[in-house]
Amino acid sequence: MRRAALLLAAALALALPCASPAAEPVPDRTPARIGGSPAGDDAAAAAYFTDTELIDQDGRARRFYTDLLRGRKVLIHFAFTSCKGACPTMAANLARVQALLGKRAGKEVAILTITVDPVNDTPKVLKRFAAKFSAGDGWRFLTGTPDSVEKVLGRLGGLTKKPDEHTSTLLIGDVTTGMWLKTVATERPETIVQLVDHINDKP
Amino acid sequence: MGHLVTKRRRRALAAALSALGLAAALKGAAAVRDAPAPAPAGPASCAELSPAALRGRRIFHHGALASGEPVEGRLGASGAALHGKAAACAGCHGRSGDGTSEGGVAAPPLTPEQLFAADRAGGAYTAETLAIAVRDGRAPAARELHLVMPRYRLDRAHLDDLHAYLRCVGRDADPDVSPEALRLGAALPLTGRFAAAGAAARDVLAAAFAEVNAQGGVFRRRLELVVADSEDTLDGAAATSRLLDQRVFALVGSVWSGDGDAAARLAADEVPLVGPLGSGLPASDPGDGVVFHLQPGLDTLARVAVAHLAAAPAPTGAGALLVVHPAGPRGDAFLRGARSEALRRGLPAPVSFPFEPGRFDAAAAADAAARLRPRAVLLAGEGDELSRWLAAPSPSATRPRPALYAPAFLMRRDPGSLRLAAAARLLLVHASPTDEAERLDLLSLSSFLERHRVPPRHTAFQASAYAAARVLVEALKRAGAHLTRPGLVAALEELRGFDPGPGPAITFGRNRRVGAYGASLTGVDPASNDVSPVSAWVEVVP
Repeated sequence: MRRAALLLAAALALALPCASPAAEPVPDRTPARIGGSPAGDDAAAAAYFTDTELIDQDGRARRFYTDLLRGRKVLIHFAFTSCKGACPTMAANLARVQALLGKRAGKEVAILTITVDPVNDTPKVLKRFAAKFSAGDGWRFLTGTPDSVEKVLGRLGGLTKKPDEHTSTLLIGDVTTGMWLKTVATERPETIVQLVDHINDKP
Repeated sequence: MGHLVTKRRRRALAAALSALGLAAALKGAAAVRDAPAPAPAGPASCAELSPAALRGRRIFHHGALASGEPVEGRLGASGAALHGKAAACAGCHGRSGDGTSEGGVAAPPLTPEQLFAADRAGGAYTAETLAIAVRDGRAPAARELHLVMPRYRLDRAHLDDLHAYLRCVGRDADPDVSPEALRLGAALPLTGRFAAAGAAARDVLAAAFAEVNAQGGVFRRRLELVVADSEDTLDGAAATSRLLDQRVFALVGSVWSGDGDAAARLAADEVPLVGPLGSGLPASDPGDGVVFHLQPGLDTLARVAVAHLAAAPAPTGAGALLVVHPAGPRGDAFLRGARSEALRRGLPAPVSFPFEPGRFDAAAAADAAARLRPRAVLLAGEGDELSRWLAAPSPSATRPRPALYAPAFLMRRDPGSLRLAAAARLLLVHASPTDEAERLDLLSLSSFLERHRVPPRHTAFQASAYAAARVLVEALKRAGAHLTRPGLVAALEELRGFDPGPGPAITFGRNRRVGAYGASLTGVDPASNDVSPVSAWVEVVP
């Protein structure tokens, strides 16, 4: 378990800067299996990701592992609403991913946008931001107390000293199988959906 | 340090210029720093801004026209529009026009030395070329500006105002700031019923500033305390007006009731008030403005109570929450906090039992509780409501009474009240931490008072004034040597978990004017009738 956690942290720490995503090389998108495996490892995954409480754009409390990750594939990225650089572009791109997913968004595949600026990004502010991108039920914009958000970001390799140093990384994962991969949030929406569909394929 | 800043600035500039495809200009960028700036408008003419420059200043810092109308800018290809504050130049180029770098995109400096230098690559900007750049995104020599630089919808008169201000950005010393001293005001009751408390707070503020001044002040500015007597009131409106007439730079630890006229004037003059005193906890977070509260709102106290309740397993057949609160904005804020936290945690919607302020009927409230059989009662008030609730006979003697939460400031500490509180399983919600660290903070405040020969009295008032002074001094340090009121507000907005000594750690934000979103809980032990901690500081999300 400990090794799995380290592996995940290491894999996720290879983050890209927010800057000009187009110019960045696309990282290797080979899925990596990190922990996870039938039934037994559910507890290990729960222990790694933790049930830290986050608050979504509707002001509802969500336990990170149990309510947000478990039982579905997830797309996770980091943003803050006052970002003038890449964030609106990333969110607009994920809106197209949401449209491509159609009815699968929510039950089968969830999009999680976690703020790196929890003080300024209150649930109300996130709600306005989400509305700009016509986010549906399957797309949760998450904030929390600064401590909770820091804890979750730490588990995902998304910690930054300042909000504007956040990354444009998009994590795609399935905690049921333990498969995770990483790409950029500005990747073509069709490619992102394809990665979601094939994340559990045997190499 | 200075070297580092310069280096960083130069690097940001280099990045900006290379991003703009103008590598040749790098040489010029280096020259900017070394050569004396041949600026057409000397600093002398910036001491007092012209009316045009003042209008331009508003566009630059607030993204607003003199009429109050927000400025609009569109981003390059995407066509996304930015309005008002989000479109303000200062947002990207910095309050002093020094330039910034965000996510690798550099917003170049816009200082007069940069824009209007005769040896500028591509030539110094003129009113004409500046208008084209801001409106159409085209710099001299047909160079396109970066996509993230908004193309602004401004007519020529507004662009000329902006031009007038850009000749002074970074040098427009606030007229109320001198290089030697900074005048900071406090309205405090020095005569009348509250005179002793007012004098106590004044002495603490004076001692806190004396300590800073003994170390050379803040950026060599001596902090001067200007006190205006609010006389027999904790309202402070008239005294605050007098302080504003005297052009104090900011207010600190000043009594404040949020009175309409004084509040409007404070906002219009953009004079920050840090740590208002005398009006109790704020009702809720106003979200904007220039008043920075150091204590959590009543809504937050209700939220913490509900969060605490929700963390415990619900007894079978548990009813809703009953919120007993005064009618009016303060009681409503308390109810709102309870309602949103209950919704957040999937609890049934709390039931409201309002009463006319000052006319609390404890028996009627107890009846309502007996009928509803709530899981818990949250009681708010401003006076003796809690004592009367505790003293009222419980109508449902056969059933255990529901859990009871109330703000700690309502609690009397006499043995009789404590015994009743223990029997009622009362949980007190405190606006400050109640842990060991807080005890040590209060001890170090005592030794501070001793050091400065300030007699300890009205300790809550003294503690609040001390924390207010600490927060203000910290923000002044962070605001830098080129001090302006918007700069101070921005520095306050960037405080994160700053520990001012007594009271909660302080975090402000762009839409956050209440520095603490949390509370701690204590209960009364039935065996000893002692108040003891039930939970550590609990943070909640607004």
